[in-house]
Amino acid sequence: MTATTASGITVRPLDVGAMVKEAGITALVIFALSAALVGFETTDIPGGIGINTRFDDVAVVVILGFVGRIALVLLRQHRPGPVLIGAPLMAVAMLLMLLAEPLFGPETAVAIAPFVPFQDPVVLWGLLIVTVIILVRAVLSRRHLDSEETAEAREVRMDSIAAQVQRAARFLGPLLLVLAVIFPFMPMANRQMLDIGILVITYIMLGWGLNIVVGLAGLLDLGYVAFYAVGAYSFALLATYFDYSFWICLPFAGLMAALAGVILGFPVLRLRGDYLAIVTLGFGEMIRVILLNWYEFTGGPDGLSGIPRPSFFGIAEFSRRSENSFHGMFGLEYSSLQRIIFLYYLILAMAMVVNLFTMRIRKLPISRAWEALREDETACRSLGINPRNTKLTAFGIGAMFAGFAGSFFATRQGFISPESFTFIESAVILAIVVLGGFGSQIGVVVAAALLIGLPEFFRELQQYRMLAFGMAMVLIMLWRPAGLLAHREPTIRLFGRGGRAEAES
Amino acid sequence: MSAQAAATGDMPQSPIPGGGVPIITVDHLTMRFGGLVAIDDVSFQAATGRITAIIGPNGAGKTTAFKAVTGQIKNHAGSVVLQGQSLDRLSTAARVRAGLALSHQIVRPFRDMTVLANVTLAGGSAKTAGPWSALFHRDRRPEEAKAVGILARLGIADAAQALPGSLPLGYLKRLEMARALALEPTVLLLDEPLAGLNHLEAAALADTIAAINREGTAIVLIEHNLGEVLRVCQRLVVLDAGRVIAEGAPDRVMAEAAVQQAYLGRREASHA
Repeated sequence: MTATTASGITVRPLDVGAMVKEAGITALVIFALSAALVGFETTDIPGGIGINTRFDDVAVVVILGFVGRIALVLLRQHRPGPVLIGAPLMAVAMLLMLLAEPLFGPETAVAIAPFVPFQDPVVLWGLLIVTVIILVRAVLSRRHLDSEETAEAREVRMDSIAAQVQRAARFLGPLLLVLAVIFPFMPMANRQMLDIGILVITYIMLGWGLNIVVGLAGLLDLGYVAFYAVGAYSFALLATYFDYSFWICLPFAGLMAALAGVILGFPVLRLRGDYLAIVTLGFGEMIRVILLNWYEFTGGPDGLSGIPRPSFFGIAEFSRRSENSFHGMFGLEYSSLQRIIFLYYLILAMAMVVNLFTMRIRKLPISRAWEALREDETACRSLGINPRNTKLTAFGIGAMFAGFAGSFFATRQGFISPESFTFIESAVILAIVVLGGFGSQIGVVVAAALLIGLPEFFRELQQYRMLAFGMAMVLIMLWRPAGLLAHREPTIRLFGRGGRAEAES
Repeated sequence: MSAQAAATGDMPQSPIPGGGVPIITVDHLTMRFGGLVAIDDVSFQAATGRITAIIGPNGAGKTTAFKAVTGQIKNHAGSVVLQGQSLDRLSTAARVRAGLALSHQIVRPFRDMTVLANVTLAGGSAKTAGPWSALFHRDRRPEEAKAVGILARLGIADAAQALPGSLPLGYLKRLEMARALALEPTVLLLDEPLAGLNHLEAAALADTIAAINREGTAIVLIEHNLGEVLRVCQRLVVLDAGRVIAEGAPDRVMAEAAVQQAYLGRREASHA
């Protein structure tokens, strides 16, 4: 006995047994995961470490998981009704617990404290967000029942939104650039904001570099940070041992990184897909371990310090007391911000060079060879394209950009050590590319702002940052598996944007 | 096998059986996969300006021979020579640059690119072959014009802006061939170009192949569709169980007893 709504969605009778079974399995999984991790807490007691049990928390987590799963099953069965009632109740309860103190005063907060499942407000906020997401889905599902939109239609709509954003990118890009240029002179631009800006742009640059390797050439590189490290160390060694200036060291560092990319790429690029990813991961770690152990040359875990700061194109220096100081030359008051602003513009200019290069290269035959290679290596061979050399080019160019970013990193920090080049950096850069949508330049900007900028603003979340990070990635995988702004457009249109009608898919 | 001895016996170096000047010479080629000998001491030639068809029952080693010529698999013994240049040490990509062009039995278009872009990419193979030239070329109009011409020649110009995923197999087969043609090859190698097409489409495509050949391109094709093969080809090489059992002009080859046996079945005794 099935009922069909106007939109053609079939609502089957609810199978309560199956639903409870599914939710039960979820609860079981949650129990297995949380029993040890949440259930026991180590505490410092005099004379060692003691163990606290928190089985009440485990119980609450399991119950919440059970309820949440039932809500999801109901939504899947197109029965949003109960969820529409339950989720707001839960959200309100959560809000009341969170805002008890400011709303009703401290006495109430203390009074309800025993009933609040988790003491940490961050967990409650997280729960609240999940509840709201489920609620939004319920509302959407309710509209689904009435509207005619199917899952595919939604996918198409999302794609068209992404396409619109990309179309807007022609204006958005220059607009963002103008904003970025005037940013240091805005009233809100203090030291912290500028530092965040520099960090975000560094990651944008790294993202653009990796985008060539992963997005255009389709080579999953999990060891990208190795080239960042090679660039930084090349720069630091050249600058400290030979006393060359920033502008001489920069191209050398890029060249060294590119060389490292080609040398590492040579043996590994015969591999494809997962195997390539694993081997690049290994190479990334190897570089770090080499840096860590080659004590005489790299300083090992102590790193390299005293890396010279960049001068103002060799004509002036950013220091209070200097023969030819920047502020003296331009008749300004000395301010430590001047160097930060210079660094900001430096990385901005470097990132723009990378961007222009990438935009340009996408119009060249090499880019089409990469795209073809990404799709079908065998077909490429039969077109006379040498897969290995073509891949090496992508690897080398990507590595060169990482080398430039590494140089900048070294000169900005003045100190580098292997600790800055761990796998998590590779993962973050790759996450920026994946999140932004493979091959999308503006997507990388958005993703870098989200992944690097926001966590910097929400420093208080510190310990939960990676958790939120992982959650964001899972959500992206579920909703937009090809990335936020992924809308594969041909890089080149042969007959202009209008083209022919059937060319539009 | 007396028939084979007869076939190889009357094979002087030049002129080759069936007439013509050799463009590809496959010499004593042997391929083994583990213990299985897929092709055993195979020698045949393709002639300039002609269509050479390689036929044979399933498992005869046609595709293996094809892949050995294109370099997709490495041969264990023997050699492949293109116009006096040995191809044995070259990779597939290098062989393509030397003047071979191949189409695959299972179509492999780049599905993210339009049909025209597919052919244009192939037309620019001189530029994409090495990374350096691929980095320093910008103008693609010559390749595009060439691609438009090739699409028109193959009768798929109406689909130039379509994505391959939306096209029927007949178009994709022609796209595969268009891409190979855009490489301006000395020899065009086609692996079962007619497979999967109905007989009207197959006949039309066979006509197209004949037309391309009349313009001067030497063609080697592997094909199961015997009727069409006999209609268009000028040279026939018959493989059976990894050996060449006949080579030469189609009518003479088809008249040979060994070929008729291979195609119409034979007595078990002679098989052993």
